[in-house]
Amino acid sequence: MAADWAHAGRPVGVHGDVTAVWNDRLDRVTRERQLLISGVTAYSFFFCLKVLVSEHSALSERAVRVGRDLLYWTMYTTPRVRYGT
Amino acid sequence: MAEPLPPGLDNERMAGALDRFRRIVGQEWVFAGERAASYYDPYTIANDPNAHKAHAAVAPASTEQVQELVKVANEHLVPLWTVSRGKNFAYGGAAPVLTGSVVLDLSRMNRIIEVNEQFGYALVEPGVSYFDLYKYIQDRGLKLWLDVPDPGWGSVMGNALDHGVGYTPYGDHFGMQCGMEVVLASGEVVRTGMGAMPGNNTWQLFKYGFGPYVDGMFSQSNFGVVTKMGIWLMREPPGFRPYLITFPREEDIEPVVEMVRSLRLNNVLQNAATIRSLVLDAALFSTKSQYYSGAGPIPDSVARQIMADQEIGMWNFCGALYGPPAITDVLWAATRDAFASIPGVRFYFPEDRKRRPDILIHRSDTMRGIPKLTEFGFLNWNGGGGHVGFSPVSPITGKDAIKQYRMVSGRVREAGFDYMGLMAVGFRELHHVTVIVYDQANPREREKLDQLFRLMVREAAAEGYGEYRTHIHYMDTIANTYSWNNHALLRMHQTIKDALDPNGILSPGKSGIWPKRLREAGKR
Repeated sequence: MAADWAHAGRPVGVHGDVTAVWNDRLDRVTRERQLLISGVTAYSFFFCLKVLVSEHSALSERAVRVGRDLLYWTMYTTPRVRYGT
Repeated sequence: MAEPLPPGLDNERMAGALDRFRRIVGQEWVFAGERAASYYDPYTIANDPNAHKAHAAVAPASTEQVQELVKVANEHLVPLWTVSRGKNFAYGGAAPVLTGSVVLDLSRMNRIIEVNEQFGYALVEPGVSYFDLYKYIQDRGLKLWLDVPDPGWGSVMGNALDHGVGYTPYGDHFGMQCGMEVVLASGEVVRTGMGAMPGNNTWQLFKYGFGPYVDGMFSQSNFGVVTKMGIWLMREPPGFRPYLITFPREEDIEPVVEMVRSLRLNNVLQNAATIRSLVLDAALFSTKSQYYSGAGPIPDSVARQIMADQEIGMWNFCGALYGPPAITDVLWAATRDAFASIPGVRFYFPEDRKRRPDILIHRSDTMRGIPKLTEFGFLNWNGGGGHVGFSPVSPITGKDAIKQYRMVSGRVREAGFDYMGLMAVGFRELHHVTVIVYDQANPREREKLDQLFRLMVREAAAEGYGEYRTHIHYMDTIANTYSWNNHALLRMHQTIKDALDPNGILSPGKSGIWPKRLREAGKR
């Protein structure tokens, strides 16, 4: 997965829990700069990512159902003032 | 749409209060209008769009700022709804019970003040998540383990205060709490237990101090704002052996729970183990449509197919052994022997599980305190939906377990939902937690869920089963079931509330406790 993330713009395979992807890189990158993220995933992945990103970034997102179990979504994130001291 | 106001406040008075709040915490830490939109319940049950809607939010950075905020709230009679991190999504998220409240968001207070490896404890502020504390411990190579609930983004303090449970031997989170700092509604700061003595060095080591033990008053309550809390952490054990035991029939829950009681009371079962239902486990890594396209709950034939596909049972007992192999070998032999007589039982260790992802591999992480978000997978069962938890408590007896299972699963299936439940083993009790996954975008489904929930509460109460925790929408409903001696306990809570918070500014309606000023208006 880390190797995949080295190439921005390439799709990354995920399975279920967003935690690994988040800890691997997304947490840091979304704090540092604006980011456009898209995905076709189950709802829980989208929901969890949205909640995590919202902790430190302004978020605009759109999701469209592309099947009974899948969403196609995009998120545009902008870092906010960092919480805490 | 204008943000709703709480009872008795007009726009001018509220605006004046928010201005004062800005002077205390800074302009950017008061959230109003669109900026307050994130303080909502993502899985709302009510069809009224204003129900449980906050007017605004304020995020202090220190205990001193909390003190100043409550003083202003008293002057302006502004109700403050306290959240640690606001991630308690099955029970209302950051949304208040009382519409128009200002959310007191403590997530900026996120300091890990101390982690003590020698004695095994942490002293944290409300904004510290399980992810934060885990990373802190890992980064420093400390030989300590957390006990985590299923969502790793939750507040360590908030979960304990709400009587949350985890899955290691330290699974009773409030039981592991030791020492608090609390801001009272007057603005005064109190330290409980040994923290009340200047210069004392056992604040996080001995709970009771001298005199009445008051820490419990600040859990699931609105008597103060907890700004620091000690939590005991488990020393990393010299060995860890997770296991899964599966049982093929619904009725197996009765003998299984009988065995569990004996094992638990004899300390053979060391951790807060769980007995999880088929669909709850299947839903983590698969969807209903992979198995069934019909309406309503899955039929028995489909259940059998899922069991075969995923090598799980109708009930799945996830536990773990902690200690050196010489001890865990003995404990495992006793555990295995206890269940061996149940027909169709199967025993697994992680190395026996070849499918990925897999329930035991996932639960192994949780039972060693690794925070994750995997459990949210069950939301995908019906394509993505809201969820609410129904959580009555019973003794650890087979008779109670099967009675509760039949009552709850019967009603849930009757309403067209699949039963997704677990029984978490406490020291003397079972928490029977059923998650109901529903289509949150469908008002009729929300109404159906609401009727179902209220019916289950009534039926459970009639049999003497009370809920240990609930969604903001049902706090009055649940409080009313604890009605012995003409609601004596609730009346005592109200007396304490009125004494400590005479203006009723702290979290009105929390756990059904309303201040005198709002006792009628709030419930409406």
